[in-house]
Amino acid sequence: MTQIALSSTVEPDSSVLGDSHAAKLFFVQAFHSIGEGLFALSLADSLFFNVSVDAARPRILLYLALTMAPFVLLAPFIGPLIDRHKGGHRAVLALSVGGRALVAIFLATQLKTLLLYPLAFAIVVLSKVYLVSRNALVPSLVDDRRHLVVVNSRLARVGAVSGVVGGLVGLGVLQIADSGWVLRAGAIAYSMGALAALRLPPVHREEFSASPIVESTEMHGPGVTAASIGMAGVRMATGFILFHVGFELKTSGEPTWLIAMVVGSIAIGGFSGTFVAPWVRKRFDRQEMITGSLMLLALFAALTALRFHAITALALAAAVGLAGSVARRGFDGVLQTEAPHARRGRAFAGLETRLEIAWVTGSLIAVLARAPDWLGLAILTVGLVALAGSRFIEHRKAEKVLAELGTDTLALRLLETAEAVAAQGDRQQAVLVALAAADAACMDHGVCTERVKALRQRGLDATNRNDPDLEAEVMRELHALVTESAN
Amino acid sequence: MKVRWFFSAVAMLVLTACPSGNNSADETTRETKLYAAVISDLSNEFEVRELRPDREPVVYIESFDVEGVPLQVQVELVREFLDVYDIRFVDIRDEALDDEFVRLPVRTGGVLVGLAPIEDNDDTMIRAELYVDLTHVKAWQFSLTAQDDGWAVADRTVVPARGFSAR
Repeated sequence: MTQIALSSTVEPDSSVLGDSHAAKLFFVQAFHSIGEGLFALSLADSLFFNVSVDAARPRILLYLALTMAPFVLLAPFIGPLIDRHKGGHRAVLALSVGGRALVAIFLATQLKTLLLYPLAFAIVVLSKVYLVSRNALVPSLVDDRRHLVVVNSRLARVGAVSGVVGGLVGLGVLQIADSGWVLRAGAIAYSMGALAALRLPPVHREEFSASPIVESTEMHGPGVTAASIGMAGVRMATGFILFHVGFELKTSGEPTWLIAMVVGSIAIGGFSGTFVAPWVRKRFDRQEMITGSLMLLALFAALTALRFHAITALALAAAVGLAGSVARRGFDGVLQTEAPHARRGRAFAGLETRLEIAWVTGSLIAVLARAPDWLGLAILTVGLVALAGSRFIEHRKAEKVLAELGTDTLALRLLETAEAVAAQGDRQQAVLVALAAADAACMDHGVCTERVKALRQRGLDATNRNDPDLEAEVMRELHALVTESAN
Repeated sequence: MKVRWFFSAVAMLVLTACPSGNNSADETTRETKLYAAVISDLSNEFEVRELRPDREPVVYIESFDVEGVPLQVQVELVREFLDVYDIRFVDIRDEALDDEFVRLPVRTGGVLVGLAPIEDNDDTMIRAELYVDLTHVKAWQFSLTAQDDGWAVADRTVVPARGFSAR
């Protein structure tokens, strides 16, 4: 079982740049985001703005759907393989950034051909792969688990600043050359990001993983489930808004530089969010941060629906960045406190994957529906308010239940699972889950290792001998141990 | 199950995204060359204002065909005039018009060209219209002939505007 410091849930604001491994990741993030800024700017002069949206829509739909492919098809099979190899995640990170460099070089000559669509979406896919790998890798690079939220926040800050820097560099390049050269500059940034990724220390993710039972119990806890649904709502709304507003700006004849400004507004909103989030955290709990982010998006979507204009579109884009940043901070906080083991395990990569799929789903809905500006945003507003409202009600209910039951620990939840499994007649499996509960209880308090060792041995003997009496006895003792620890 | 659903959805999208059989490469080339010949001839009438001297003048194109100009043809036309005009196909006319002015001129000092479907009777004909603002609309019927290296305008006749007069 993993040796992880577990007791504290503090989110310190002390400097973590001294953490050399995380600091190396900041460089990868910076180069990656500079590349992102350059890539986004180059698209403003692409075929996308020359051809009619209706004619291009089937292709956009196709490639958006294909964007899901790596996650739907490859993640379940390739993910575990990567986990098993030391340095696997570092390699994926380097390949995703390096791959973007290669695609960008090729795309530089294809901005006015139909190859724009597959190549641009290849870059989007690689960006998603990068995000999933990076978020899954961060916990392994942070020495102290308490720094996780702060490191994530700073990564977002580095990303936002670098993205704007990339955009400004791109504007400079455009003064002397065409957008193909902007993309080539992006390829240079991506290449440097890939080199920086190779300098990350190799991490064997399995060293950090808890047992699958522990991971699963944590990931299916009510707090994590609620936070995941809320975060997926934010990501889905982000994908929807990006494509819906992009199409609306195009069809309302707005200049392409305005669309580049929309991307810049998202970055600025995200950057502001990294400063606003700690302030919000002091006043609201983590789940409320996610609910508030949904409400913020709903508010700006409603305002933009009432009057679709360049100014409201830019404000909505900034809200997207801000809400994404604040919600992410709340989400990371929930994971850090309620799923500390799973946060380092492969179950977390699965969760990140689902969030990316939510983004693509939102984008697909925007392209498929192609609703008028006010209608699309009005429907989005209703959806966001409904989600935020249901989250608010559920959160209040959960708080009430917790107040009645006392602390909801992982060990107690595992114990409940063990008892449910035993009630279904699978005693051997029940003993194994109860042992995981005892492990979790000991990790929370760090005092009962010898007692658990003895119980584990007896539990294994009982299951090997298929001795129901001994299994029942071990279950009773494990129950006593876990409830003692909880009290 | 999830994978099967995914494949089914992608297969449907591939079928939707791929060009239909009657839009072969030859037909795409022919349509492109016909429309390119019309736009080139029409360009003598363009009164584009260079609001941004560092950029090519914008020529918005609206199709009078309900099915629109096929995507491949749009791409080829964009490439055909790459260093001369910034060709932009629009789904709705408002995309090209500046509604801050009463006479609804074309945005960015450009022009709006309307292209009717190709008529293949005894001759190959295309009706094209030119919109500069509400008071400045012209229309022609172009007659085209095949040449070794493509198509050329053989004749053009002024006709009443139908596409842009609908506004």
